Amino acid sequence: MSRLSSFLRSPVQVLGTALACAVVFSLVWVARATTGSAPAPVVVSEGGSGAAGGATWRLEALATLDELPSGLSVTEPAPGAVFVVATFRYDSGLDTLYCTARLVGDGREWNAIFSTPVDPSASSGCDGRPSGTGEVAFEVPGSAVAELAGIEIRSGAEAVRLLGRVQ
Amino acid sequence: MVATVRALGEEFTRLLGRTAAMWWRMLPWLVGFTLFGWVGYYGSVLLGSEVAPRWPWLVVGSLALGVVVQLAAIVAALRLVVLRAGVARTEGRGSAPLRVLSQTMLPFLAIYAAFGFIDDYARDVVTVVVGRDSLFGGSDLLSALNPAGSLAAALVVLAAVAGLFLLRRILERAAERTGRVWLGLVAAFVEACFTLLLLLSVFRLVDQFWLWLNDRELSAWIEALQAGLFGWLRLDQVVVDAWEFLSQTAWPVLWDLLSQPLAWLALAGVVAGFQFATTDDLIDRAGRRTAAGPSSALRSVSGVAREILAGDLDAPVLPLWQAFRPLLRAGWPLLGGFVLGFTVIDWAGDLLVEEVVRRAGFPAGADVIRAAPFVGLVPQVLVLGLQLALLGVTAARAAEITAVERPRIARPGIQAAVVILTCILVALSSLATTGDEEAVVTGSPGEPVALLAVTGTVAEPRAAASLVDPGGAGVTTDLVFVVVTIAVAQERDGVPLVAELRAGDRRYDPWDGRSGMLAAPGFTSRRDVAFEVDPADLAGPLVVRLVPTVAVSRGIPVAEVALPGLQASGATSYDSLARTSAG
Repeated sequence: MSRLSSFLRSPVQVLGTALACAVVFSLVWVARATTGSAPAPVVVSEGGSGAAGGATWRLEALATLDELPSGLSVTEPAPGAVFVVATFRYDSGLDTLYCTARLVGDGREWNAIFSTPVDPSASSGCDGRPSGTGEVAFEVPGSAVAELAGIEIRSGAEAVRLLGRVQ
Repeated sequence: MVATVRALGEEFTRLLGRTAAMWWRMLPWLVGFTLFGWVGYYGSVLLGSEVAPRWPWLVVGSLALGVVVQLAAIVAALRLVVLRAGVARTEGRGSAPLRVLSQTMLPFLAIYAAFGFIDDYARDVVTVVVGRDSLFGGSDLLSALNPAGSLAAALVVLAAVAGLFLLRRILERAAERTGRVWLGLVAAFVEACFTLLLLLSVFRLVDQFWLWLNDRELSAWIEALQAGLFGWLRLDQVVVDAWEFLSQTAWPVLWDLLSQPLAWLALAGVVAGFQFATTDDLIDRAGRRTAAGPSSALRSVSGVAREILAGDLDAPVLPLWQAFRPLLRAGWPLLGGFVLGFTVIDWAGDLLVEEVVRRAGFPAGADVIRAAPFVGLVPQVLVLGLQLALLGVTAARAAEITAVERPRIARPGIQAAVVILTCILVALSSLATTGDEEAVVTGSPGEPVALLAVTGTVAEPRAAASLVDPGGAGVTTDLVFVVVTIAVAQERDGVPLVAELRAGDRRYDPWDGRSGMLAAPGFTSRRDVAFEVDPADLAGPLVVRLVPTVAVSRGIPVAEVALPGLQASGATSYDSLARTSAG
């Protein structure tokens, strides 16, 4: 009788092995499946710089504004909300560089909104240039400003979380 | 007729009793093997979502691996059950477990795919992978697998499909000739890759082809031909409604009720080793009877064609027929008892899942992903184990009846009619209970209703023939517009809500096609939603439903807000832009 046949005939071995596999798999699932399929972001403490997606990133400033430039006029936030503008430096040896940014709060995040940079020399996010200064704007409830903890920038499959407080 | 109903009831209760005993006796194996399958299924989902951001095409391979592992576990469990039930053939097949596995995997997989089980698999997997990606900002899997973007991508995918198809046939033939076990298992993996590639990628090319065809003049010709042939038909609305109910509601439910147990019966037939006559055999016999055969060149061409096509025809059809026949020989009551038993176990599993989800609290956000495999334990371990035991005892009961009792089937036509009618009644009764799949939260206009992590409010219902936007532009309908202002609010990341209007059995989607509503954390988003409805429906009750779009289909909390009686005015305001405010 082959080793497999004798294994299959033993109820203790079949059930024991299956339960062990199931427990190990459950632990792996709980640990991995809720961390996101994309690689975990590199966390950079306030004022520091970190590498992700072939570039280095540094958060320069996180500031609130009551209005944003929009062509010849300005845009105002929704009632009870404020704009938060993040300014960051990025540097890469790539030909072109693109990224997306999210504002990080206490267990919740906000997507960037379309906006014209407050500083005309800055790019809107990363617009393809391999290095420079980027600006992204977010709209958040006024009550959420105190909880803001930085921004997360994703470039390709990699991400960096740049910690910082609103000045 | 009464005797048939009584016999059906007796077979049903006998089968359930024996199933419970068989399940208890085989508990370690049934739970063990189904757990291996469960790990294979969700392991491949996890692996697929891990590789998706960097190498999306590897998702096909990882899911195929999961399919093979799960099916191997099912085959092993089913083989043990039919052996224990004393209905498995062993002669003519190697008795070593791996050899049996290797020889049965391909036909098993073919039936599994033919009855749509792989479709469910792919859909579930894509839902979890895409859900996980969207929750955590990963890649867009389905876009990455879309071959319709460029001619080169389409050609590569089509070449891969053709290559996998040929490779499977070569491996299958090599496994038959050499008797090497691993070749059969690799062939099953290749076949699973082929099927999943069709389901995840090639379907886009098929869609593209139909879109292209609809744009051609040929399409207009076909429509004109149809109008010429059938345009004169004028059916009463009652007949049209009845046909719609039969074809779109009753038949799919009945088919679902019958196809699942019969498909599993065919699978059990494959594993038990019932004697099959393949299309190949039938053609061979026909060929031997033909005195003057075709020329050798023609024979070789027909041989290749037969080789390619006959195997794929055999796989789903013949095992089903071969498995179905002995059961039918044992009488319609046994067949009916089996179908009902299978269905009852299925329903009991659904109810258990619903109850567990209700007691544990409905998962939201990332918890939907976290909970998915644990909710899946009920159908994939408990229910599947019981159904495998039922298959074994049904086959044993069929053998018992035909060998010992040899039933005299009086009036088989009446027996068949009674059993089929019972199945139809059971199928229709399931229609009445489908509402239980949702946990309905009733609300009133203007009153916030909490759904998962989102709060929805339906307010300011009105009806009019015309809509006027804030700019003063208007649009008029020959029917009537029912407009409501819907607000959604959430403190953290939530799920989008979809709005729909129900008027009795009729369901209306938003007139502008924009159905999903979502607010950023800490915000309330408010906009008007219009439904274009039959004026006659204003007289009856109108209900706006807010449905969260989540990856789990059972036990979803759904808000239902009954609208007060509405009188259509000439025009009403309609602001389709979402207005947000903090809080």
